[in-house]
Amino acid sequence: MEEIMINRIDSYLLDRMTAAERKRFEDDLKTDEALNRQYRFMKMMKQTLKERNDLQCNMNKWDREMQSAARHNRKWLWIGSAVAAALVAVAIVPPFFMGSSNSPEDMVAKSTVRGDDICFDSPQDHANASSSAAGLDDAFDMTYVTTTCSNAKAIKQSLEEGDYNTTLCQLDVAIRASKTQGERDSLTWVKVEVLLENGQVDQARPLLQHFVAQKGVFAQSADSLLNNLPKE
Amino acid sequence: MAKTLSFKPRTFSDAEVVAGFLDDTSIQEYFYKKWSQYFMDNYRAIFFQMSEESCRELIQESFIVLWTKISIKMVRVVDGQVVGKNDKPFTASLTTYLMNVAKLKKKENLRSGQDIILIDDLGLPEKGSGQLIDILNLPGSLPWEDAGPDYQYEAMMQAIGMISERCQQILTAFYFQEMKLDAILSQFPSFQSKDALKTAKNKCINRLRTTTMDCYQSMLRFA
Repeated sequence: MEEIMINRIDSYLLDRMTAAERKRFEDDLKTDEALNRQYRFMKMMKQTLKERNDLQCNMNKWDREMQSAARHNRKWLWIGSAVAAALVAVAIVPPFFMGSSNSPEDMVAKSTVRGDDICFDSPQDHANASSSAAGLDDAFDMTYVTTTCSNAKAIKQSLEEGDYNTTLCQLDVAIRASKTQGERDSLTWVKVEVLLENGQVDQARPLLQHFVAQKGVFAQSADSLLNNLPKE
Repeated sequence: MAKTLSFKPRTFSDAEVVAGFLDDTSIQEYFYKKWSQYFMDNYRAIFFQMSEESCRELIQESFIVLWTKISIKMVRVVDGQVVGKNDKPFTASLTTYLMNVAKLKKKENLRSGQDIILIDDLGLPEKGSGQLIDILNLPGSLPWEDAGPDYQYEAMMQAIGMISERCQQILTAFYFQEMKLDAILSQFPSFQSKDALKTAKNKCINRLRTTTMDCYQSMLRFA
């Protein structure tokens, strides 16, 4: 009995009733106290879930921004340290190896140097070339999203609207909620595609490196993409 | 003499945060980042070892508590000062308040999950809370149906955070993402049929109802 009542309320709340059914339901609400009580509870539950999830989405986005800023600061710290170390090395190491007859080009065969055959002119060319070189379609592969993801509808909508920042936030929520490594990997791969499409190469790079290290399904594609990304 | 531009990011006082919290996302963002940084700088002295994932959960749960309290005006600004229940002014900063909230949330998580700890305006536990509530024997309790929407909203917001993560995912999939049963089944392969999934969903609703009532009765008891 209770289950029938809940199913009926579900249909009303999720707008899955015909006009006649809605009218009948609204009439019953006026007379059936138990139905009314359950309906008000479930309506509040739906609203509260929405507000909580919206807030969660924003918090995940802010967490990502803070992590990105922290990585950026760490990157400049490493660059600064590397520059300082290089200056020290130049200052204290005597120039014993200047003018040596053994040049680096003689030591390594050109055919074994990676990335040697592709040249880029502009940052946009980098992003375009990396996508096309790895054989990615212009449209995102939604197979993984629709079969494994909990908020596929919202992700698809934001992708269609070109609102990539929202898409990334939603993907983070889905990745967090995913139950298996396979789901996580699939959704993370979509995230990589969106990051590259949005020009966020620096954020996509560590994810690709992780895929390569995992030696899983996406390792080969990730390796191919990494080779074509501009050097750090 | 030419004016110089300041590139320092804008900061907000606690009163400004509370006053603009619901209407201005930038204030929410500002305070969330401030609270996150404060928590990460100070949690080791209180919680000792904790994974990054646990830290993030506590940060977010505490932030939701503050958001709820401001939404129902249990924390608000009066004459430029942040006040709580009965217009009692806050004696601690918002970050200190949230750190106490986080401590209580951690304690709540460690227990069986049946004990509800209420949080007062200083972020400290309400006297006597943290005990199992026997709803049936509470004298003169105000029925849920007669309660104000604020009490109901706060109770439900707190209850959603207390039910199992699986129930949260199922209810979110049904009522927030409005997914069809087939799509949800593919997300939860442990369910063998749509009927089994529907039964689980209804059990989650009942579980949420019970937890919400527990939270609500606790709020009344210590009001």
